[in-house]
Amino acid sequence: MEKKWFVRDRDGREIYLTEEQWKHIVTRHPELRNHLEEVLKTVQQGRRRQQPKDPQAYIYRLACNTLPPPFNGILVVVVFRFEDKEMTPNNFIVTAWGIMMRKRGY
Amino acid sequence: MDIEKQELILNTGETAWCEYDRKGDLLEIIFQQGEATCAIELTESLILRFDWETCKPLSLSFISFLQLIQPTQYGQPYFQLLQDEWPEEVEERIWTMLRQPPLTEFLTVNSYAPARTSQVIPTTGIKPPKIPTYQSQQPALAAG
Repeated sequence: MEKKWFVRDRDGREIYLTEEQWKHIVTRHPELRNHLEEVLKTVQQGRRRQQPKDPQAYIYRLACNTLPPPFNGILVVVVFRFEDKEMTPNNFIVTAWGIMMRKRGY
Repeated sequence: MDIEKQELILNTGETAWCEYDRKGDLLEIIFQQGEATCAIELTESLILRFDWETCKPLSLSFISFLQLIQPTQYGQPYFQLLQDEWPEEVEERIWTMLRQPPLTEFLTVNSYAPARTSQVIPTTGIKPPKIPTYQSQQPALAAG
């Protein structure tokens, strides 16, 4: 069975990241290598913002000072779906990036 | 994961690759393989990875891609460039990249001038013809 990491965001929503997705993230965005915990922490503690054209997709952002400069933050995309007839929530991390952002209170 | 990969020949003759994640509705256009030394939020839905020294874009990602390219009742949507979020030391680099290929092949730079103010808001539009239109099952209801 595929490994998954589960976390809850600041409002208690359960969100998961699969190992397969994590491997793809670090292949595509290698600045996040060795930053799995920080990516999960971004979902747990970061501020979320709804996508302007997609009410099911949100980004979470959080400052991170352990990335190689000039990266200073992490941005994570999470989608909120339902699966099966019971409408079980299926909220998962799509991808993540190290980003450079203006320093303020994130 | 359900990722569809497609090669794309740019106007410059160079080859780019598109990776479309169906489940997440995320499109990433990869101009050049390699490790980015910077990445920035161009808009709330567009992420640009690039090389800090050479100012060369490495990839451009579209969050909620299928939603982004849907025309509105008034026509093509334009999205605010998050200039206020860009650190000062990177602003000039971003404007340079936005005005050159390969980004000009996928994005236009425009401005919105609201009434009764001298402020001008920079925006960008997505050029749909050059973006592969992936057919995808539209997501079900939102839980968030």
